[in-house]
Amino acid sequence: MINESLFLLENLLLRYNIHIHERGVPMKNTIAEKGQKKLMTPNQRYWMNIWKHREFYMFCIPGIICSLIFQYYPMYGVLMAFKNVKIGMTVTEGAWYGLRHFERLFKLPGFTDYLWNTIDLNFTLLFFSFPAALLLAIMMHNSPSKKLKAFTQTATYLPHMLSMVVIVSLLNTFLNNSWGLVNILLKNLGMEKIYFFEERAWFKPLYLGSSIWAGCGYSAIVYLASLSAIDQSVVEAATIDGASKLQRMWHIDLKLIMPTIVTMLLLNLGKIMGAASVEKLILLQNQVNLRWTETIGTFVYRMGMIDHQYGFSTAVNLFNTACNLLMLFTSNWFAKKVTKTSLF
Amino acid sequence: MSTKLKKSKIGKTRGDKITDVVICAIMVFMSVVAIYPLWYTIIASLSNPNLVNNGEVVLWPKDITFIGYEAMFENKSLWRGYLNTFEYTVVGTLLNLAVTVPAGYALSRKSLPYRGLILAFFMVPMYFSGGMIASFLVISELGLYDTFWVMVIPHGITTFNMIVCRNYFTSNIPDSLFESATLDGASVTQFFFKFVIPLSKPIIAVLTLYFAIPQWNNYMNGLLYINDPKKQTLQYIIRSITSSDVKQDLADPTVDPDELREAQIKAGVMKYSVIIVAALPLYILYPAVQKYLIGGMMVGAVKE
Repeated sequence: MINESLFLLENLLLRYNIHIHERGVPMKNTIAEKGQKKLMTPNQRYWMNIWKHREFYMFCIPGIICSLIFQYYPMYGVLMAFKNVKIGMTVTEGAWYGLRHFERLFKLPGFTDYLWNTIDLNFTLLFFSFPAALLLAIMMHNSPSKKLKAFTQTATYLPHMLSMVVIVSLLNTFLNNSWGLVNILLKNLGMEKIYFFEERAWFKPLYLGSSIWAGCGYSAIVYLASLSAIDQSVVEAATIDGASKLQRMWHIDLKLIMPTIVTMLLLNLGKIMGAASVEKLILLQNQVNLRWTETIGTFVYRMGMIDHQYGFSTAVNLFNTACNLLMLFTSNWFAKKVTKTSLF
Repeated sequence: MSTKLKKSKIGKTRGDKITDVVICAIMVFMSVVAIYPLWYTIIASLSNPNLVNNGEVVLWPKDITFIGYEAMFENKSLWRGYLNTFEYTVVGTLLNLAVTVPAGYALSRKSLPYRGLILAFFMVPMYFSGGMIASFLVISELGLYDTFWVMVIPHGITTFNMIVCRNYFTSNIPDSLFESATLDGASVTQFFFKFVIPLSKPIIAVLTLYFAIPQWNNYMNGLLYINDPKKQTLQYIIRSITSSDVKQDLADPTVDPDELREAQIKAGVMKYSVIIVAALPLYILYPAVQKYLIGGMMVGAVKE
């Protein structure tokens, strides 16, 4: 084994030296190259090729190490879903517990509520925010004024740079029942206060509105980038043929960026039960609205970080991930069939 | 350019003009909606709090005062959080760039054997993760809990950003450039530092912003991994200032009610200025990056 690899290394170094000596000489069709190719067996050529790219592999190593420790090692921790884990244990410890965590989850009285909240909130969000960003991008791309386009791009991007904490305090600034602007104005008009954060009917509009407000400008950038890559001659040809601006937007812009749209839709569907909103939900939750704001993501947080039921929390999270993957594969398969664009 | 000018003079039908007006109207509407909450926060932070609470400040600041900012400057924990988050963001962003850009470049070379496999390795965590608890336990196991590094290292690689970076290199660093440079005797590393880095200013600018935004804005990591108030993040401290939890503390008999009421008034005055100051650093960074935003963002084909 050792001998073999030593021999291999020697061989590789030899090849490398030859390579160094021949640097700077145009190699094609020289006798030297022809001879070299004949000397190498396919196996050697394979290793030679890998050795030639060693520096590229070095470039990947920091990322791979980071990913192994902080992403792949925790992945091993999903086994905790089948274990009885106590405080102070590491992800590799704990006695096997079978499927009892899952049994408990499915029998939990609130489970269907949480599941429904998650599905409802995320699908509604995607349903509204996805077209909003696309609309914004197409408007900006077709803007008759360059200045207005630049202004809109900046204006809509600004909220993206705010933190969730700040967004939630901004919501309070406007909607808080004692000092929010809307409620102050309502009071001045002699109308009833609205308890935005405590009423069930208000929760979804509030959540969706603030999410679209914060994310629209950022999401539009992807589409703007792919719109700017459209071949102008196509647009000109259509114009000469008498297509109106509206028709060009519909038949050219939208059609030609379809691959980007599908890619982004698939990326979004792949995390539809997403952890992305957990931070915001936790910030928005209070004692009153917990019943309709608790999603699977926040339930994972509550069970794990507050109640310290590590095994159970991991099981809930695994269930969530499984739903995501199912969604991802289904939509990817569907997209491949219908649009010929897919993630993998 | 000249064809464009000609085109705009002729060929504008009435329908197209209406379309233009509608487009402008939608854009103006979206801009106003996007900006007004920020504008309101600015004017409310500068106005007399009593007028703000009466709903008299809507479009312009009234009776300008800086008491909100003064109260904020006196708040030591806020500034400590500010400094902490600044350190986390600078170190974290540099580390992210150092990890992401070389990997993105390497993966942009089509000749690299097992390129697809490495790419898949990076992409799997996008869809499958161990979850909050597993990450938390791993971080505790490594002894990173409640340290400076927990805010910096665990987020070293972000797959999406790496793919954006890779796609930029694929379409902007031609293979011929690499070949001619290596024929002249440059090693891959030399080529990377002498050619790739200087040519990739746009993508580095964009990635800096993309890494800095979540670092600066992160609330969950402070909540999960930091216990020591001296190491706490800005967002966590802002949350404790602006959240209505102060009300609940009133019921606590051990706290002096007068003191608490004073703290509450101060928090009320500060709640607008804190938002402005928290958002400021990224808003200063943005103009430097803005012109590169679209050029740097090429998602397109993730596979290949």
